[in-house]
Amino acid sequence: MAATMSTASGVKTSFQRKGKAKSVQIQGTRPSLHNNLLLVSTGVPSFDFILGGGLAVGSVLLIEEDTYGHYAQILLRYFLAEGIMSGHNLFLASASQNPQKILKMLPFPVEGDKLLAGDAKNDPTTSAGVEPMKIAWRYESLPKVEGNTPSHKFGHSYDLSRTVTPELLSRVITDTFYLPEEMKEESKSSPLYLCPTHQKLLRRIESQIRDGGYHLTDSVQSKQTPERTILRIALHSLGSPLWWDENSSEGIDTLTSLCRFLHALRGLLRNSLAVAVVTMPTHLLEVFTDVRRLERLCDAAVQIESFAGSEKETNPMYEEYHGLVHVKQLPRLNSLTLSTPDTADLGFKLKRKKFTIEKLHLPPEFSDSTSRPQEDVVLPSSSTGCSSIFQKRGLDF
Amino acid sequence: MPSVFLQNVKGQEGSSFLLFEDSRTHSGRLLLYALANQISERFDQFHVFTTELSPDETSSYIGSEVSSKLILHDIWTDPLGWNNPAEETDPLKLNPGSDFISRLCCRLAPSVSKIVVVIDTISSFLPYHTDSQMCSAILSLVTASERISDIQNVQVLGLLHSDLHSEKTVKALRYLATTQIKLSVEDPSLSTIRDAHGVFEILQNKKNGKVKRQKEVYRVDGNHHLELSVYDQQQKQENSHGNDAQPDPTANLTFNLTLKESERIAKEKVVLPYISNKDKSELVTPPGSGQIFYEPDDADDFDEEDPDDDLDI
Repeated sequence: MAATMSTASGVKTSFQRKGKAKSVQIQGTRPSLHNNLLLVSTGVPSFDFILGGGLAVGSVLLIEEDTYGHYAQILLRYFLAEGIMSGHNLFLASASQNPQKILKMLPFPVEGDKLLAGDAKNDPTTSAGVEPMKIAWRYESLPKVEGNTPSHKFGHSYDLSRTVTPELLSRVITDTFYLPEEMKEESKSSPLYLCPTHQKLLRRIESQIRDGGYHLTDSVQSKQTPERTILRIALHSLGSPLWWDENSSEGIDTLTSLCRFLHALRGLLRNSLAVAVVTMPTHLLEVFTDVRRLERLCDAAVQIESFAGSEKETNPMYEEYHGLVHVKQLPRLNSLTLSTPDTADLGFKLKRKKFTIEKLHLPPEFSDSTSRPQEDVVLPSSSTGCSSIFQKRGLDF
Repeated sequence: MPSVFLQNVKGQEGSSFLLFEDSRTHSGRLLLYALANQISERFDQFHVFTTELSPDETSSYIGSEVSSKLILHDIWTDPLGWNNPAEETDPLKLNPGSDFISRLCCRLAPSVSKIVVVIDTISSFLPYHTDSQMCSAILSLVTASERISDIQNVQVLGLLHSDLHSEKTVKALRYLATTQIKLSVEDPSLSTIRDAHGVFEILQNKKNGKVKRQKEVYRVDGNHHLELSVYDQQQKQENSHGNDAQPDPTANLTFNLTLKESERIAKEKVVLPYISNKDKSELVTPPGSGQIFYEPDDADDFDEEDPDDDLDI
């Protein structure tokens, strides 16, 4: 009898879902639909969508900054704020602004009040919530169904007009790296293959990953840490003049050092529970091929082009948007193909509670006037094939 | 349209770095000092690092109201420290112990919270430093409030001869600047200000991400007062006549689309070719009044009665 039972159960359970056993359960993550990678959200759902569902854990995203760096920093802040909501630990490095200040400027999650209230409720009276159900006796033995708490959602919305409260910020471990302060204590390390600035930063990230137990190979041996989480690494304006170091490192130019740094960072992240977003003012790097080299060293690269201060600001075609998003490279992890968005023409707009990236399209024409003003503006002075040359503003056939 | 430049003088809460980019054809020094004079009226100390002008000449740019606040750091007299070999550092070289901020601190009066710093010019320092050293020296000045507890607000005004440096260097400094002022070579005589000194373009990068760009005309009078007006209004009017006019499709046609009433009537009267003669004769009778003339012959079997009662014979 027992034998038959065992065979019967054996038949039942012979089919095992491959993914379920493997996937690590970490809050704020979800497996990718395409290749079963563990993804985290950038904090902007539409941005996640473009990147193929989110940022894969262990990858590096490069955001090429707009001219004034404003919108790129907003994306970085969203990335960090999402870390707070998902319970991920944060590491922020910056050279131009005090990272503590940037942390204080993180946008406030719309559900943040609820989350804080939930914290306050849970802490003192955990027993009060366990009131047994009195519908019928047999329901009492049923396992308690957890309500889907908002903190376990993937991607949240944030209110840019408010900043995070210290209570929210204290929910996760944050660590910062402020270059002017770090460079004060001079420590000449032996063989330099990086600029001192990059060297220092890399060392710091290395120690963060090692000490925080984010390293995957370490944890196999020691499984004391049951509650694992993700480290979100945000590097603000890496590659700006303040990170340059032409003088003190003889023989290594900044760009080579930057490439080596990104390469090392990527290698470091590949086997750790960490994800990095790097913003970089690539418009300051002169040669185009340099930028391509940097893009290739990251898993994904996206360029933000803001209309602020440029001529496109007044272009009626773009009046709904604040800028354009140029996808330079998409992640190609564990697969031969990559998920491509439908269109390469993407624009972004920033509202108080939302940063959205969407397909660029012409605004609907509401006016009855026969002329479409954008047609004149979109092609400024470019005489296309069938336009007549001698008459500038005549009717073309 | 209000002057962006003046707004800059009036309400500036946080520290900022204003970069003046001039060239050989149009010196920005007059504008730089005129603005610095205005700002320092509300500030406690007014530091000037001068490298290209003698101290006497520099003070001629300073207004009488603020001259009491002036603290001059003279780098012109002895730029490389030859007169004073005992001194370890050269005035033009910014070492960790003797950069802008530490030289400033030596001469900082107690309980000073708001200071204006003019660097005239950044170009003199650049040959001795890399871009990153220069940038971090300026940044340390702008962020001085983080390290020196008394200081709340530092306005740094730097003059750069942008035609002397590589694009990379200029871009690096622009990256740091909260406000860029580019002295332009355009002719100011078109403007509303009489005897204007020149035109400049101001680009202000606000903290909320908005960027303002405007062209203005300036004039500095004998008392170092600054007179400003927006430049591009006239140009805009010109442009609106030129570009904004809707293209008239009937302008350059080989045929006439706009007919007068008399022309229209004349046109309708014209008998076009390739219409057969028969049609032409029919054209004579007015339309809608056709008549049938029929004469029955003998072969016709003519019935008096209308079988259908509808022909109305």
